[in-house]
Amino acid sequence: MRERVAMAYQYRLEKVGKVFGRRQIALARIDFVVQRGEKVALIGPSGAGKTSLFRILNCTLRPSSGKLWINGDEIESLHGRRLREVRRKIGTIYQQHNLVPRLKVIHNVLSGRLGRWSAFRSLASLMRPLEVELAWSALKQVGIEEKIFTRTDELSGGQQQRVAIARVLVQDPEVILADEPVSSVDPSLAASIVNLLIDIGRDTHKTLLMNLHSVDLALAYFPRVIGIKNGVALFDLSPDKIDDRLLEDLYSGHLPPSDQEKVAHAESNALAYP
Amino acid sequence: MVGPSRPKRDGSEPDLLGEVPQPPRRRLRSALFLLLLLFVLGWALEGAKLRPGELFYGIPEIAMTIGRMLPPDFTKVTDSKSYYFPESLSPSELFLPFPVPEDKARLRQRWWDNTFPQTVVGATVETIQMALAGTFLALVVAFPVGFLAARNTSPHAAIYYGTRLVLNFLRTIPDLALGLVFVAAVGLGAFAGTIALFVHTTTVLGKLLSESVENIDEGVVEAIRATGAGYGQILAFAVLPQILPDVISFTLYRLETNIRAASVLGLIGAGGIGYLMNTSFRTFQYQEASAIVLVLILLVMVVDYASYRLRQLVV
Repeated sequence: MRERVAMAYQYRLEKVGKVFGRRQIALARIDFVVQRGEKVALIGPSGAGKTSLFRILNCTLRPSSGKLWINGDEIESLHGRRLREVRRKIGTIYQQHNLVPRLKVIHNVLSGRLGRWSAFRSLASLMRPLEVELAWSALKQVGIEEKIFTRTDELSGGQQQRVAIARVLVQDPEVILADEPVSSVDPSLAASIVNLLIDIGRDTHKTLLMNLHSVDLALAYFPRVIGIKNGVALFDLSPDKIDDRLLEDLYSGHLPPSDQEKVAHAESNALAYP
Repeated sequence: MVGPSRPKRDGSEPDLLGEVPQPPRRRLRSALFLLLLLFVLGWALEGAKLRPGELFYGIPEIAMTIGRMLPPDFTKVTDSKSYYFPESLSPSELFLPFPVPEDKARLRQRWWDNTFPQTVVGATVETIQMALAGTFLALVVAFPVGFLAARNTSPHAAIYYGTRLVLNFLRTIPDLALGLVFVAAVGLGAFAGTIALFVHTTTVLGKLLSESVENIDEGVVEAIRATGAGYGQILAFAVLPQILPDVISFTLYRLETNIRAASVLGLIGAGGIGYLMNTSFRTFQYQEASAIVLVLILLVMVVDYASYRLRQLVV
């Protein structure tokens, strides 16, 4: 019975915290529950811990404290193949795209299949791409199918972001995490990319969590908005309940710490979390 | 000298520059440091036994030696007698890999194994073969070692520190010293030289590749890992494409270096053209020696140019 109740949740976080090094507190204490198929925006000043939170949510960073359930699985107990299986069901879109610049677009898109492919199949695909139709239809969905055999570093920033979205499409996850997906594209494109992601999430019943720099986009497109500051959730409300005073609290008195990101990255370098 | 613009005397402009902090002065320390540097330099020059006077009076001697080397004597390269072609074999029987009667086959084998490497062309070919083989074998070993010796891809901290320690230790041994060791171990000839090149190049390439791996964009690694990819898949999709240009350009660069190294290894009997050059100098055949030096220069230039073009193609 307990199991079944847990299965209704996509994510359940209980006092999740992350400390880098000895004292770099990225996340102090986060509690929330995300239902399957829910669309949630996260806002807050830079350095608030949103990116660390996303890295915990896609299982590439282990929390230092607290508990995290994904689909009823307690993540702390997962390793190796079972952990990779969970990761496969979570697709991430990064602010910096995180594509391999020297590879052709198709290889970057198909890297979304790696969780399903054997090592041999992956190597074979680097020689001669497999599942070309799948990559083609994903690229068609984001509107740049003609770039399929172009080298990725020849594309513009906005086009590269679309390649990253296509990668998540072929991964076909249950959850899409989008970490500042529009902060490096111009404002007119930003709304259309957010829209695209929301459409994809709705059409395929995926859970969507998005970090957003732009408060306007978050309030306009998402039924639920979580405000994060200094590693804690300041509010977790529907947009009509969020007023200017709350937003002022969220962004006030904040100076982004300069060395926090560096420490965070240094610690995550090793393949220590295989 | 262009100084900073000074404020006007009458004070109509505020003295902005007055608030600019001056860079700290360290006159005494700089002077001491300079003194120390001069002292060390003097000590080194003294120890190196530089005697400019003797060099000056030696100029005619140098000129005479160079004169004796001129004109280069290419008969060893061009004269067919110096190749000792076996008379009972026709050129086609000697050069084409078709089956011949057994006695002829033995003769042919002996010529290729023993006579040809003693000729200038043969030794040059051998030099190239040594460099190619040594570099290729080194790449095969250094490629996985590079991943083990990189902080971000090493499977375990102990493996990381272990491989780095071994690489750093072996790299301190010059290839000539390695050549001496392997000549003692496996005897004179190209084999000893090739192993020496292989070992030395492995340590250098392993180090260079590990640094290349450490400099990759970690974001891509994280993105690929987040798709549920395993260790091998992460290496293939996220790491390898990023380091490939470095792999190719480092390998070609080492190939150039190894051509030079292979020609020097002959001096200690480890195969290659250096052996012939040494013999010519030792037997006072200066004109012949200069011909060999010219062949060597040509060889190095050709390889440098070829690898330069190849690198342009790939990177």
